[in-house]
Amino acid sequence: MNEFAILTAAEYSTRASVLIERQRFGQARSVLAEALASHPDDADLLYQSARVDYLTEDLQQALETVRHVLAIEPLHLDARYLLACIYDERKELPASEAVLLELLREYPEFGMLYARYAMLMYRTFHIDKAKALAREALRLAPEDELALIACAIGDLIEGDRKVPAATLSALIRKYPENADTARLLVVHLIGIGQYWAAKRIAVELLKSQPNSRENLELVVQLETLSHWTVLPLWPLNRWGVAATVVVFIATMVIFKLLGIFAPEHRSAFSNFMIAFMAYSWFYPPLLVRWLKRRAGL
Amino acid sequence: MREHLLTPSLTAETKPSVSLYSSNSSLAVSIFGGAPAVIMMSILNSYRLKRLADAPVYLAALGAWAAMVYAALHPPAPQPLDWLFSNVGVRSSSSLLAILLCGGFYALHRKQHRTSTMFQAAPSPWIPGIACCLLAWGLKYIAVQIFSSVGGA
Repeated sequence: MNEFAILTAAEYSTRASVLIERQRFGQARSVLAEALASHPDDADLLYQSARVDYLTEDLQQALETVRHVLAIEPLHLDARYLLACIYDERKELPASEAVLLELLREYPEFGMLYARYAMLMYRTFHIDKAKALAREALRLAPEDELALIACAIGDLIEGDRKVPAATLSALIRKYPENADTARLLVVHLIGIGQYWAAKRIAVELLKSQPNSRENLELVVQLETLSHWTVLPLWPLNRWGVAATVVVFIATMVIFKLLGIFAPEHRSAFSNFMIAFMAYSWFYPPLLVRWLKRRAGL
Repeated sequence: MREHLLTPSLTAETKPSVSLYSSNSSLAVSIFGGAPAVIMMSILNSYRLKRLADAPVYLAALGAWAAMVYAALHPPAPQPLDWLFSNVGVRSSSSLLAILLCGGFYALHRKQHRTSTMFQAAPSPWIPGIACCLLAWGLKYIAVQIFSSVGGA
């Protein structure tokens, strides 16, 4: 006899859900295996099982289990939402959209659904629609994490330096421990050229999730941007194409002025600019390679 | 308002992970291949985004480049261009046009570039970049041949 023998399917489901929230997927699987042995057709238990598979990236198994859930209980809200997420991960985007739209028509008051649809629209470059969906999500669910994230992403894409700070501060206030919040803050800090501050957050993020390759790559990227040997490139990294256009025009003007007032220095200036151009193109990729190798990537 | 938001936007042909060639690759292409190369590179980005509405912008850019080539081959050029050619030089004026177009095309796809950076890595620009430069050099050669024989130069 084991400790779960007298539990109902709903109690098993709650236990599994708590374990999943704490990312104890192995224990959740054991509980669910035990529960499904006695309740093989319980929709909630099957849904929790699909959730574990989805979160551990076994998408095929997750899809099969969700379809099984929907065969038993076609209107299972959580399972249908999970189905949209699975389609999204499998890059079956129109299928994901179809499921989300169906859910939105049935549950138009659920802000979270608008936020999920907004994320899908961002990925497919329907930016204005995504921003409108994010605003609707935030209107319906001002505290919802995904709604806040969707709004912050919209503000970051828009590129207004002040607006993202407002949505991000709301996110940080409500979900300070969340990794997505930290990642968005890093993106914002990179956008305003605060590479050193962004690196400190990325390092903390890596400490909290040491096995995340994504976080390690982020730290390496920021290590490159904030390395002392690339300091001369800071304006180009910070202002991108605009800075390059300005440097190009300034070079032409200086070259012309040197031709008039100090023609003997023209070739030295020309050599310097060629060397600077070669350094700006070839040195950063080499530095990235070296830092990646050092980080074991 | 909601009905508008609840209209499907994706079709079965929607590519799962579209990402754009980075602004840095466009800059490199503009320096090596000139204006036609950066136009082609940006056309590739518009194609990836399925933005047919960008076509007039590319036609205008190609027209500006062709006018510059024609003016360089048939002096004296109209006044602003003549001033540019005599003060900056024909080659530098052409590079200036390429770099300005690069900036303009970045502004055209600014939001999409930001979204692309946030959601996926940029594709490798080497093969399309080299192809754009080669095609641009071919196009320049053809344009010079055609414009030299036109207008009695």
